[in-house]
Amino acid sequence: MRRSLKTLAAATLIVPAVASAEEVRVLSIETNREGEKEFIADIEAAFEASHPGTDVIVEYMDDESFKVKLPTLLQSPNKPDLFFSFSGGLVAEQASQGVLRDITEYAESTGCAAQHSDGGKAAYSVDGKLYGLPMYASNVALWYNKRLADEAGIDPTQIKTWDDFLDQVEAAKSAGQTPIIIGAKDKWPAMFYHAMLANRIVGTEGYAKAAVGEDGGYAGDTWVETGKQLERLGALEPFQAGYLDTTYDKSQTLFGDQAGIFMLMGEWLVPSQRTVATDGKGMTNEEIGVVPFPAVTGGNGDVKATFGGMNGWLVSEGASDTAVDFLCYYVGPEAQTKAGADGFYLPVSIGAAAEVADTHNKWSADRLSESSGHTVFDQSLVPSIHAVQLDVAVDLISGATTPEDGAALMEEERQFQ
Amino acid sequence: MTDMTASESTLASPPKKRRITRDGRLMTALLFLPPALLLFTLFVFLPLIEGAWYSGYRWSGYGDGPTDWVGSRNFEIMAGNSTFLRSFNNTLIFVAVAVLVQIPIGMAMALLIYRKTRSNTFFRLVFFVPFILAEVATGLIWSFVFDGDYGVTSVFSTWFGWEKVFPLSDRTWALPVLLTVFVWKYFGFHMMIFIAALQSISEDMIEAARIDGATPGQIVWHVQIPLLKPAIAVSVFFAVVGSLQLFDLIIPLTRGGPSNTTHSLVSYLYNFGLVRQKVGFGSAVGVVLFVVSFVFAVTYRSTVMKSRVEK
Repeated sequence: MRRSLKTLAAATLIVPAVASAEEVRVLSIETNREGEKEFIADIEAAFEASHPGTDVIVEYMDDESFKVKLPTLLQSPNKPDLFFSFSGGLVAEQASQGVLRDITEYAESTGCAAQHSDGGKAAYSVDGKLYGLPMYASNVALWYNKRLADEAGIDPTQIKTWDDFLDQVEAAKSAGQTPIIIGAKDKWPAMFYHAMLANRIVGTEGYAKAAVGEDGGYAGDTWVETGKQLERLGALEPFQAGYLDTTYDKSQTLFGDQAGIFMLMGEWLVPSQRTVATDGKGMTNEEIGVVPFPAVTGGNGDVKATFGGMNGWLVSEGASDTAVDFLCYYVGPEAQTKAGADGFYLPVSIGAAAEVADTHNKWSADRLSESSGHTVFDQSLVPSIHAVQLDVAVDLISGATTPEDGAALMEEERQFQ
Repeated sequence: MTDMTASESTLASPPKKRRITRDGRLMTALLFLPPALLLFTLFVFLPLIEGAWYSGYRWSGYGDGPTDWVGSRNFEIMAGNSTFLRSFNNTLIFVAVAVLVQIPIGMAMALLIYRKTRSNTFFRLVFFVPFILAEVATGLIWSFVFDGDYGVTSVFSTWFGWEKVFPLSDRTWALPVLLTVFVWKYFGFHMMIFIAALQSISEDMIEAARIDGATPGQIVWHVQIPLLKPAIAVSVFFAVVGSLQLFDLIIPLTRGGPSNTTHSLVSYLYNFGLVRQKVGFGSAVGVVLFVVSFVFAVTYRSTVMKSRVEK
């Protein structure tokens, strides 16, 4: 009898403990960086060990499904506590609709906020309120295959202006090489050209003016000029055959298979092409060169201005303090120093980049540190205008639209806002 | 007299109300109608009303609901959007190809292999397999086939020393390729409808026509096809409704590209509404799609299908 009572008492103690296990649900986009999922699993395990009764559940979803399902997911009872974010204009939209938790006070009181630079936090703040934290930055640049460039008789390190780049593209084509690899089926790789040209031609001030409709908005002269320069590139027919039916994933494979010289992409391309190359090896860091996106003569933008990501995590409305604690731990210096050392990406928490060893990641880190302004992918564009920019970029490189019509489409979308 | 007639009538048959109760029809309705009504209301009627309501708003899909009323603006933008007009036009092309190409091929195949022989059973299976395949799988398979770098076409171009071909990357060829896959995927479905209908035609009629000196072509044209009219009516209905809903073949194959030239109304709705987080605009496209489908369904049922039932 006494034994039964003991068992019952033990069960009474255990059951609430099990029932009260706190779940932290994390929704991430898929990653193909080798070893990153194992790294995240280690982070989960370490956090759970230091927070008994906590169960961290990380789910992965491909980019497109993630974007489409997120609005519905955030309204469901099974919404994630933390979810991946490319930051940008969407954060403001999500904050205005009340689906994010304001973690300003909590993150400051726990010392978590102090682990991140103001620039990084700005990407996850709206009207001074912090809704998430950044994890890594990326820098879009022109990567090239050194061997093929040599064979074509061009030296990409000499590219200083857009005209230089176009000259080298032309020379490479004349030499029988495919000058540029692009995954235009996914549209955003083509958008990178449009956005970087706008970065150089329109400039930060011009971006801000267009957003409020000044100087003709997105149909203004500088935006039309951006389209004209992209049209010039498209007219050279520099892309691989079938580029309009090439996904980004396939373009990585083509680059790794050495099917073309240049690819405009973030530094994540370097490890990714090794994972997806047909021979399973791709190119080594030494076989790949990189130059910043060139200046455009007469443009209003600064050649040191960078363009890329400030990816991280947002906290959904109603998420617990434990979820925020996990986020702080995950994107904090301890975990991120290891992520940087393992070469997954460029961590942004203060001090975490110290052990970045990968040469190309280091190159990107240097560009970001000397940047005169970092434009986060679509930060200066609201999501719907950004969507039009995707179409316009593909149509300009393929000659399906004119610079004037493309700019007018973007402005039309702005006026609808 | 009137009263007398009424009482006689009452004696002859129980009141309607009592009859319904007694023969169990009321109980059947009470048992089976509520679940169906509930499901229809929850998953068809309410989303329809909700979609129509959202179509008057500018809304990203985030938050508890839309607040920014824009009236008919979403419909005006749609009417002036060249991609929408192209998608609408493409949908009409899908309908036309389904009715004028898919169904005739299905019928021709059915006429060739409707008789019960071992070889015919084999061919029926072969032609029906594409229909069984999931649409997404079909799209992926064909996108691999047409991949000029790593796909089947690249193997052929390497063998024969041809230049690489990328039809899905070509604004002129992408839609014809999509239509070819569309016909390949669904003709087997129509073929099976016609095979079932052909097998139900009495052999005596065909034999009689043959004795009267009809050639095989005349038998097909004057005996079998006229008797297939009810099956054709059903087949056309499914072909049109299926074409109006075409979506999951397009996404893996072309994603509506290149340059948005291969969208159907549904893939346009998905890309320009859901992916771009313009739920209000997407709902407006949904309303147009619903109206087109509804008008077709009602018109078709009240004309073609009705005349078939009356006959």
